[in-house]
Amino acid sequence: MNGKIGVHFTLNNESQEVLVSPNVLLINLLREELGLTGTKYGCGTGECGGCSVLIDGKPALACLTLVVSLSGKEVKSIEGYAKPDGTLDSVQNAFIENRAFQCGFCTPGMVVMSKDLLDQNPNPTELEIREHLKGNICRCTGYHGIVKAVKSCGQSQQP
Amino acid sequence: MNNIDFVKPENLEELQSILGRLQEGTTIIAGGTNVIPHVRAKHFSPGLYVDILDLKELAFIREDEETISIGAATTLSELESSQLIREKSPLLQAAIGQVGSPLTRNRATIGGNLADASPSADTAPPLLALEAKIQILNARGESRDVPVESFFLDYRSTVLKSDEFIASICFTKEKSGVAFDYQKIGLRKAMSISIVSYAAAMEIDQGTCKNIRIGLGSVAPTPIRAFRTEKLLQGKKVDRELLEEGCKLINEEISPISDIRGSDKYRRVVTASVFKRSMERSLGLGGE
Repeated sequence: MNGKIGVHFTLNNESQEVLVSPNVLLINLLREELGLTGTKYGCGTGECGGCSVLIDGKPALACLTLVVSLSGKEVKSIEGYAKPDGTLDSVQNAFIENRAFQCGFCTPGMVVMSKDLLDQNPNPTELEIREHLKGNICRCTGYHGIVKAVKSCGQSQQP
Repeated sequence: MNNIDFVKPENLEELQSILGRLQEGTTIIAGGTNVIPHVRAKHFSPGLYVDILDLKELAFIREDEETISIGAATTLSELESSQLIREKSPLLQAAIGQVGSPLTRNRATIGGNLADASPSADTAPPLLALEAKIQILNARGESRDVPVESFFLDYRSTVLKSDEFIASICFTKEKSGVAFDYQKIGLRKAMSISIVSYAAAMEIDQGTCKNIRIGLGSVAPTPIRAFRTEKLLQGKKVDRELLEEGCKLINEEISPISDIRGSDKYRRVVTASVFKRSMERSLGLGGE
């Protein structure tokens, strides 16, 4: 059978019903079919982290995920981090305030992974931040501003 | 454009029934962290994806009195955060934490890493040192256990037949006080294909080495045990002279190639160095 398969899943809290070939990857669906270009195509092999998204609340790589495997699952892309009224997430604001990007290509992936870290560990050390972001490559910043941004989110959490 | 189909078995029985059809191009996929890059690089052409990532019967971490067993579809991040693994198999946990990145570990599975059978499969050296057994099931529900050192036949080739799959991996719990070490040498702190990887477990009794097991990755067509080096050290009081002998012998056991990550000569130097430094650390010998 070379037919398309209907897949029902949730994306950024909205129900999605798509008809895709079994070999369609989530990154292509997001960027090309749905026009959500926040998720970046950096390498296509899982090595750069530019396509980081959440699947059922856990970080995953859209370039390695078949859409047909997403039936019944909840996907969150970078577009789902700001509120519907456009208010940015505190992590996104921290990136702006700490000059944590230059070209911005790695930024969506960095935000996804940084928020994932802070959700598990509200006050991470620099080492913990660098460990958690190991799978996300930045070619511009040298990571300093990114680490500073994530650290600042930790410090702002009052006991 | 090829005909590709997709199916997601809900239980083991369904998986076995699908495999029993012996359909051309049947490709078991879990996290997809190896399968998708292979397909995109046209290393093979899948006809039917069989998605087992959510197959709960294959995702578990269990212990009984003597052994730990891990379901093939257990993700590496589940293993990494498992208290049982942290307490009862620190060697495995040390290795798991260096595989890929936090992103891939959320999806990659231990069974997938073994079935992919790369010479640098990162879960292999620690499982070799732990003398693990791989439980293989077939479409008819028949089971066989294969020691991990016999599982890999050649470069990217395993004993798995086309109607078989890895069900679980199990190993005997180490006694307390067993010394272990894991070293992965790579070009990057994450997502790097190992240049050399090394896992060792041994009992040390007043400077004498007992029951030593060494697993090596990326230095042969398959992950290997350094049986001859182990035999050299077994039951002996380890001194610098013996370690130098071990360095020479371990170099005879490996057959590294030159590739974009390093030359064969470099891999030989690194393997000997990792081995020597690891032994020095475990025995408290101090570096030179």
